[in-house]
Amino acid sequence: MPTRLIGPLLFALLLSSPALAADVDESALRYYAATGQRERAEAEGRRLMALHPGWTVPPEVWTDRASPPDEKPLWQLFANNDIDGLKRTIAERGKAEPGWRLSDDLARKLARKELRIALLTHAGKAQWLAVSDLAGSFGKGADVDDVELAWIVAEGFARSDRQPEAFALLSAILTRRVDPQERRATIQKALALLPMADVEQLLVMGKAGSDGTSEFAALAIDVTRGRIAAILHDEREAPLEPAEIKAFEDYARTADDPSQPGLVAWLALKQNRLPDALQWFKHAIARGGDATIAHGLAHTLLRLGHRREVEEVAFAWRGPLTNNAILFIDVLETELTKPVPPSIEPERLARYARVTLEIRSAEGAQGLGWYAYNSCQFETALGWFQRASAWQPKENTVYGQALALQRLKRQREFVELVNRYDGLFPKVVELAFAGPTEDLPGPCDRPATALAVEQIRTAAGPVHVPGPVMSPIPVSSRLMRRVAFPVAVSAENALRFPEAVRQPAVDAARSGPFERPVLVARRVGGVVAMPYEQLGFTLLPGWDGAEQPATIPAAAQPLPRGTLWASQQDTMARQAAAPVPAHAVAGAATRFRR
Amino acid sequence: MRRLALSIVALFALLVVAPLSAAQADRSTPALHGQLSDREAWRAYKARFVTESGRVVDTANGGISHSEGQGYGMLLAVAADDKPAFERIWGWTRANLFVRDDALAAWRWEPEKRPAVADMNNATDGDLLIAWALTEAAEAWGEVSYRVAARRTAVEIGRKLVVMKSSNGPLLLPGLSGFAAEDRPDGPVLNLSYYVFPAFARLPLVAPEFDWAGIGRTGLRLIAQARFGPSQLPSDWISLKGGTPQPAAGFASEFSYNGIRIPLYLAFSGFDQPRSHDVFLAAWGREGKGLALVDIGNGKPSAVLTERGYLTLPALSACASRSQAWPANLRTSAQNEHYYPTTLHLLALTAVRMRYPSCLRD
Repeated sequence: MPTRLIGPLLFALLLSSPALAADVDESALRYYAATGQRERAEAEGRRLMALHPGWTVPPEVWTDRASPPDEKPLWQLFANNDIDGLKRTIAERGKAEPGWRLSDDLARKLARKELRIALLTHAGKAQWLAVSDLAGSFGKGADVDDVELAWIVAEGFARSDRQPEAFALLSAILTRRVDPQERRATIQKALALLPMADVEQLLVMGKAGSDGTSEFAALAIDVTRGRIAAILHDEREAPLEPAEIKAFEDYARTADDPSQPGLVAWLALKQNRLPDALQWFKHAIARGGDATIAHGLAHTLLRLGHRREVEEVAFAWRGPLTNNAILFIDVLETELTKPVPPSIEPERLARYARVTLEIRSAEGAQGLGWYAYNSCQFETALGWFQRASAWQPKENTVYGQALALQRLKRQREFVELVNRYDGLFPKVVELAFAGPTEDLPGPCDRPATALAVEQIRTAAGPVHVPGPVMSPIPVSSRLMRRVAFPVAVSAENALRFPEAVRQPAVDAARSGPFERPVLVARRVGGVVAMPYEQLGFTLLPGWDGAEQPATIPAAAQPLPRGTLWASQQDTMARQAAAPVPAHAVAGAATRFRR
Repeated sequence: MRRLALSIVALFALLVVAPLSAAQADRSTPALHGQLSDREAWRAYKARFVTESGRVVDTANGGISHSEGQGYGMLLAVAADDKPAFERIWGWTRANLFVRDDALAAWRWEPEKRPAVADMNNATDGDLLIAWALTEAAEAWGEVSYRVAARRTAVEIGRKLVVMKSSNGPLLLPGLSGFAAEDRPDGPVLNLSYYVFPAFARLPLVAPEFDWAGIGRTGLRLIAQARFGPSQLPSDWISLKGGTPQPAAGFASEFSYNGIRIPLYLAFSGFDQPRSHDVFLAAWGREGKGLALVDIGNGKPSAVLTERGYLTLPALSACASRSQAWPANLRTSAQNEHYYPTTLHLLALTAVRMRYPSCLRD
């Protein structure tokens, strides 16, 4: 149950508490029992049971001392819920009459009422750990006479990591209580609090009516909703009966709450019934669905291969839900970084650039950087790569930034960059040892066939995809260093683009004097050997004393087993039909190496 | 593309668990924004520990920086309602620590080294602090780029660093490399002070599809179970091989600079179990006498820290569990203590004002 509903419910409970089973008038019963009138006591017990279904004769009535008649005023205070007054009176009486003792019955009921108040108070503040701590014997399902209190205690258990006890308590209610409304409410509590597998066990406890239907049939839609949720959470493998799905779809089609058709849509997407998912997501949007529904729609379109529409949906719904802004960036990023960049309308590119700046997306900025680079617009490419490096200077981004600097013959900044990432990014350092500028990767130096020129002009990219494998450069040519390396540079990346639209505030080449110029790189955990190491150069030990390079780079290390990431990678590896290989983005720049 | 395909699976949970109500519940916990009322202390903190470029300097540790320190700096900037400082610290953090191929931060950065980044591995508490700070900043100032960055990092934590379906519930790995069951003979190895409980209450605002509350519950359960030696305290690093917490091999078996933050985070999250502080208060004894770090083997203090910043930790526990008034001499931070005790001091002042203001009444 959502926390915010607790307040009003508690209020209702406090008002209605005198009518609860725990407050059945047992005075006559107890009097007969305490005075040894067994037959009359038993008759009274039968009378009360008939009057209050679910109530049973408390076993202690046969052993308790009787409540003496002079306790009447105390009972009155008790009945008025004047707990403070009652305790004060008890204290006074105890002082005035040494040896006087409260009757067992009243003492027990007082303790009980105090416990009830404490439980309700904690529940009202959503302090569920305190509720479950106080609950005592409730956990064994021992106490369901006060059913509304039992529900609250069950909620306390469920919300404080004691689900088995919550289950035991709710199951005890179904065993011992007969009121149909209470029983249905118990199932509803269970749906809100327990795993669906537990709820299924409770549902089995339902009684069949004369027509053979379960007493919980009225809750069928709620139960189906729980089962769908379980499927979406990978907690249920068994598919639903077609009739059951049909019933839920009929309900969802006209439901006021668009999240209901949305649920049908998510189920269809989960089960890879894409046309169904598409239809239901659209229906949910039409009924007022929110940005979450739009997100589902976008993912359905993505799986159907309608990337252009994904972009529109994600763009339209980017404001209310960050997920959509991120999806908008990511879906076009894969296009932008393609080895053969597709033609993209100027207004689409402009829109993408605007969102990239708005949310300061390193992913978007490096995507635009590669797109501009592959379209031979190196000044523009540099601007985007610098932004991307300010926001997330990962290896491929710094690599693109270095390439753009080289293209623009901005040697000083290039030297600064390559030296800053010595010891960290081997691919960037490699550039310090590469051949002349004409050998730089990219489509812009290729023999200008008519077709290629046309494609470059329209920013449509080259036809020829460069091979991914770099042919080894002879050692002699590697030794012909073209740039100053190593030189001492500032260790900090000073690029900042704090304001969304302002022009690049490039501050990258700021190299001050160094008190202790550092020319030799050290080992960094998770980084493979530097390219110049094969010439016999050695690196300094790492911060932890490590002397050997990593054998595989951090980004390619195996994922911790049991994480969502690892299991999803497994799933994707199995799905040969995956639209793009897993490392397509990470490898965006690798393809240029030769 | 990896990112795209993966976000689908995670999202199923988002919708069903509680559409929108998750976010509402999280907004019902108090926001961090503006909770550090001592602006003079924050001004001094910035002057002493935050460089012009936004680097938070660990002054007792060779002037290095780490993702955790950047995260603390960002949190305190939000708590002090100082957006320019937040922007400065976050700007440095992303330009210098986000060198990995994903949305996690490299954990350690050392000036005057080539390169300055010392390790490509992450530290999960640093990432949690950064994601939490970005979430608070987005809530405070409505800046969409903070929310996007918070979500990217939170999602990365949720799907890469949480081992699902262990016998103890979801486990938070301290780093991506080197701590999992397959990485070491006593793995998985955990650090209970990396469970930043107040972050778990707020990350659903940006990444509701992950069970942050469940991760927190596992943390609470492990803290209750990790009771070692005569002091009954947890060691900083624990092994969960076989399912039962043990002090981890290869680390000092000590309740030390890491573990002392456990009660801080408990109190910061408003965790309503007074007894959870008992074991820490018992070890620290009467406040004002110094904060003991404890050798788990013999239960004896291995060091006693006397800086005032450290003394705020028992003060906060005593306030949270026994409603004890905040000591007058801890109402503001010292001007001659190092980065770590001063940071803890400002965090504790923020926590007490946010969660237990009655302890500050005169």
